[in-house]
Order: sequence, then structure tokens, then C-alpha cells
Amino acid sequence: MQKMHRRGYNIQNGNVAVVVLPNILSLLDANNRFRLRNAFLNCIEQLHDFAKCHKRICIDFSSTKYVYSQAMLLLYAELHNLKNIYPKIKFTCKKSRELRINHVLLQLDLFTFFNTHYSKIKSFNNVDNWKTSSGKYAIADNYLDILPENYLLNKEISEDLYAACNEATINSKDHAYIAERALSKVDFNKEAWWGFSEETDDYLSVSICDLGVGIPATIPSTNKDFWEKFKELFDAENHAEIIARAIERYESRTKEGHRGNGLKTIANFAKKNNNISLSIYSYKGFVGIENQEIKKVNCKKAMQGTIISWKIMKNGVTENEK
Amino acid sequence: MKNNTHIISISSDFSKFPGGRYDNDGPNNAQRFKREVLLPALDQYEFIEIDFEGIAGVGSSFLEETFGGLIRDNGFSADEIYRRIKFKTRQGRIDEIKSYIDDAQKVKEKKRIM
Repeated sequence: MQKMHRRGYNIQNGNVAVVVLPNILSLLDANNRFRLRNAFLNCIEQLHDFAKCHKRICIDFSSTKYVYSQAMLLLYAELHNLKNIYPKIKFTCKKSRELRINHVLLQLDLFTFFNTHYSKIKSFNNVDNWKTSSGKYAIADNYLDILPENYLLNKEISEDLYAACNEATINSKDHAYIAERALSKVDFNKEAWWGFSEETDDYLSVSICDLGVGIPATIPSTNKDFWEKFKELFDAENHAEIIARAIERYESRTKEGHRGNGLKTIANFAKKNNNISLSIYSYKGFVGIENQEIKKVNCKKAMQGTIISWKIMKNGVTENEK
Repeated sequence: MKNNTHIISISSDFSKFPGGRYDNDGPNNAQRFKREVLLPALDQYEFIEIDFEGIAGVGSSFLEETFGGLIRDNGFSADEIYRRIKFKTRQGRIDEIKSYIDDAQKVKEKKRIM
């Protein structure tokens, strides 16, 4: 006997709560109509609702046919955080009908997380190169989890990527959790950030995710005039503009003049090299930088956290072509 | 009279993965680098060369806290740092370090005037 909830999830037999994921997991729709984003973020909210009152939660991937890496990273982070704060919850999953999606779950070690057996039937080259990491401190030697030491980026790009990841993880632990977010709390003393890398024949993508209040809510008030402009934008829910301006002129929330270079480091890595693009998803805002051009999108539904993602086209930045 | 010159290799003498500003940023933070590697060397040697070869990279927080922090917290002046410390790394990173040293010096002088 199943009961269908108005928001689209099922509760089976009264004790296993099932979150049915949509067919595409994405944080941004190509046409900016936000249907995919809203559907995915609704599922994240359902997951949190269930975690408060259920001991068994099933994540149903059966309809999922395609996952964008940023959405997968957010889901991965949310699941691991929920496990941190509700260790008694038993998470299970329903496998996808798509072998590629199951390969993603296997590669991210989520079948172990779900205590579900899966034997790989078919290998997908790109998925074999998906890697994850997490931490409560700034990224250091755990950087090797997402980018092996023998990776063949040229030296300057490689060092700048590490520096950008380092700053992103410092921002996560220092700034992201200054206030409580709308969803379940985050045990940032266990894990404050989650990292992800994806390598294809053409590019390397590296992302850092936190589950905090988002960049727009952490913008400082050191300069009153500056802050007033931010405040207007915040009230108008123009979060993309806030993120874009924060990149241009970030003033540390800590009010210590020597701090606050992190976001610049994160952005400059992409700004100074046309082979590198940057995507920032934070609360309701999205900012992308590619070939010196900046794209801003304001979304209707907020994500509770921030994902910073760099995409490095291999052509021209590797020591040796792979 | 101090011994003359000492070379600090960040990767060999500290970590291949430096990062963060304070102790609560992780084990390879700038304050620990200063406390355990740089300041003892500055006590013992007149001239220091800091070699960045072999590290995975280094973020702005680490660089600012290390070199701006020498002025802010350890009584050094920009002139003394430039006279005693040389950097073996790419020019862009040297320029970045110098900007942190100069900024910290400006703040220090501004505070002195006030």
C-alpha cells in the first residue's frame, strides 16, 4: 500500500520513506526556466524532511537517466552530512535503469553508503575518472583524492588549481556556516566541504561544495556604501549580481583588512586563462566566467550551499597530451 | 654573529601541501610554518632563501599570513624582509608576496600615525 504525498514522494509501508529523484539531476536548466533545478532541489528538501522523522530512507534513482556533476556533488554532500547528524538512519537506494548512472553511484562509493550490492556490468570511461574527497580543514594532502600527483597539468595551472581549491575550502569552513541554513544543520566539525573531480578526454572539472548559507548571505559590511548596494541587491533577490560583485571586490566579512583574498584567487584562476571556466552556484545565484565573459542567472529556488567549479580544457594546459 | 644563508624548501622542510592561515585551518597552516620553520631560521641565519619548488601550490591566505604576518605579528619591517629573504619561485608569486608585505607595512604605518 503506497501513499502518494502531494509533493511527489512515496511513503511505503509506513516506515521506509522514498525520495524519487527526477530523470535529470541538474542545478541549472539550459532555458533558465528552472524546472529541472526545482525538481531536484525539491527532492533535497524531501530528504531533509524525512530525515527528521524516519529511520529508513530510500533514494530512488530508477527514473534518473542523466546527472550533472554539480547536482550529484550536492546530493552526495547532503547524504553524507545527514549520515553525520543522523547516524542511525539507514539509507538504501533503488538502482537506476541506466547502467551509466549505476556506474556513477558505484564510482562515488554510494552503493556502499546505501549498503546495496551492485556488480558492474559495463564500464564507462568518463565515470571511471570521477573522484571525491571531503574534509573539515582546508584541503591539503587529501587533494590527492581528487587529483593524483602524477596528473599532467602544466606546473603553473596545477599550482593555481591547488591554490584555488585551498581557498575555496577555507572559505567553506570559515564563512559558510556563520548562520543556520533552512535545511538540517551541518556537522562541519566532521565535514565542512566535499570535493569532486571529473576527467574526460577533453577536460578536467574540479568542484568544491559546502552546505552553508551561501555567498550572498556572507558578504561583509566593512564598507557601508558598498554594503548598502549589496543589501538592495539581496532584497531584490539579485543574488547572481552579488556574487559577481563579490568576485570583483571582495571585502572580508571578518573586517580584518589583510583577509578576503580567497574569492579573488578562486576567480582569477579562471579569469586569466581562456582554457579555464568557472561556475559558482550559491543560494539563488549562478555566475559563470568563460573566455573573460560573465554570465549571471538568478534562480527562483535557493540551494542551501555553494558549489564552486572549475573546468579546465586540456588543450593547451597539459604537459603532455593524454 | 648569525650564520650567513639558509635555504628553506617548503616541500621538504614543511609540507608539499601548505594551506590555510591559522592552526584551525589544518596542520599545514601559515602560522605553524612561521612558528616552526621560518622564525627559527630568521633567528639563526642572516639571509634566508625560500624555495617553493615541489609544493602542490599555495593559496593567498598562506602567503599573506606568512609574510604580511611577519610585519603584523613578529616585529619585522618590509625593508628587513626584502633585505633578508629571497624567494625562489615564479615572478607572479613573488609579486603577490610583495603586495602582501607592502600592504601590511602600509597598515602598520597607518596605525603608527593614528
